Amino acid sequence: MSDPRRWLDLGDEGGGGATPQEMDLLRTGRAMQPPAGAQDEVWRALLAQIGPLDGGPDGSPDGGPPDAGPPDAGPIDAGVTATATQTGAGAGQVAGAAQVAEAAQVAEAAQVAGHLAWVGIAKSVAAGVLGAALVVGGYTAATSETPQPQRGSSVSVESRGAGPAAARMRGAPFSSAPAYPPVPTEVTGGTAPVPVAQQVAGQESARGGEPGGRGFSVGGELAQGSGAAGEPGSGEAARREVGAQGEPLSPGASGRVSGTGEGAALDTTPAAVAERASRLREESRMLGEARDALRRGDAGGAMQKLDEVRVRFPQGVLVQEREALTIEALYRTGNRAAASARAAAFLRAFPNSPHATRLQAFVQ
Amino acid sequence: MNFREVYEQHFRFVWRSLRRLGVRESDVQDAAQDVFLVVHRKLAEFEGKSKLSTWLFGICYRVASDRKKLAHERRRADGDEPLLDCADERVDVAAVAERRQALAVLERMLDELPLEQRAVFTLFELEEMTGEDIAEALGISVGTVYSRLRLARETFKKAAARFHARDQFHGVAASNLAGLKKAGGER
Repeated sequence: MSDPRRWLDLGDEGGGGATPQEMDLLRTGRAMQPPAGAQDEVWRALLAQIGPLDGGPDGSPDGGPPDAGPPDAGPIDAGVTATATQTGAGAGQVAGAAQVAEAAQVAEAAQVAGHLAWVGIAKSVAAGVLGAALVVGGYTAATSETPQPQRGSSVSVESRGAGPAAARMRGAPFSSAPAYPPVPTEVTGGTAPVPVAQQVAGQESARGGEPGGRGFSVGGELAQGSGAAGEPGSGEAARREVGAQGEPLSPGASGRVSGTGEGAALDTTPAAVAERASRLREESRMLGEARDALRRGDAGGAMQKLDEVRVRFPQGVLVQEREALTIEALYRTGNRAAASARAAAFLRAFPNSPHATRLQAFVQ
Repeated sequence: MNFREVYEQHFRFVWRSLRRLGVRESDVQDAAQDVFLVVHRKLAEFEGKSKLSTWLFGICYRVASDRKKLAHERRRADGDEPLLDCADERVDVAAVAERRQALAVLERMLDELPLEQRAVFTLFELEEMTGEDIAEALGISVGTVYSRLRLARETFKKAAARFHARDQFHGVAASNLAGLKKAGGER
């Protein structure tokens, strides 16, 4: 009995192996490495528990790190939050090429054609897209009234971006003339699952002409480009929704979002879908209040509301909208340096966000 | 080989094994510590009858399994920091976001596998262990390794297909946009 061949050794579709997308995912898994500093931190923690090592000449009674890394790497990292340390340092550790590859995997994964359009999944997607599109639209409307550097072009770009998203939600062809979406007063997510499910099926053919390997593989240039042109809120929101609900790094989040056991896959039971939709509605409503406060000129009130959202939905589907509003509010409370720093961080994290263009105006 | 040498040479293996077995990033340092505490206690008993890596993986598997049970009882939210709350320049937010996203997708797929299948699948496909070594690490027969691998592959494929079906819906916007841009000759 001999081992079957590994999927990654089989090559694309070779001999009933994995699809290119599955292989990309596996490559991500192979590249997984601990972040720099983790080894030292765990070593120190171990020594604290087992005491100075008695075995061998290499025992380290002083608790020093076992490897010859820079002595200050640990302390620096230790100052950052656990998650930030692990992920940040880890990212730094991975070679640039690997990062690009990972990014490409995400991009490709986001575009891959599937075969199942589960109504349950479509429901949650619909809720996410609807909420995001509405909030994007609303946010654009709110902020377009505010004085902004570089305001004219960026605002119009955003309007364009939100238009198609809204149009798509109504089942209109994507290629229809961009229309400014009506600003909603009440989000009614979860009402559109069936049309959207149909749309998913319909769009299978629509994406036929999409270039296969498109993605971040050109160093994010393409992604940046599509963001600048006003990518509809849907795509971004979708990916964020995935991040929020499938977030592997925060057990609390997955528990709260899906309401199921730890590590459970996205729950597609009606109850779970309804819960997600309801959470999204609440998140969207609160952001709407923040936006209204900002529109009234009450930047302080907006900040307060945004903080509430942050606490309640730390991994919210609408994290980008929340952050964009926060940047706006910071700017209007006179905290321009903070607004600039956050805008810069935002642009690094979400270069292809529908908010990217206008947020550039805040970077000093 | 003394404890420190084991630690230095195998920390990375332990860390990624735990992560691939579903230990969340916020918990993995604690879990790695648990693993090496066991290693420290039992290293003397390890007589080299098996490979060190398979022995270590067996420990990782038990620790991950215990943590999984524990996680059902108390869910921790401390890994729940908002991605963008930290404007700290030392943290490369973009790289973090990309990496988290890629891993999020993979973990979503792996989360659909029962732990025993997940172990076989990740050891074989990602760690590139042989079937024999996997059998040894998990204390099962090679035939069981193969059957679990087959089941895991099927489940993984189904999960990937579902995910992509779901995600493809969002990809359409981007692809349409790319088409528009191309037509507009912007780039």
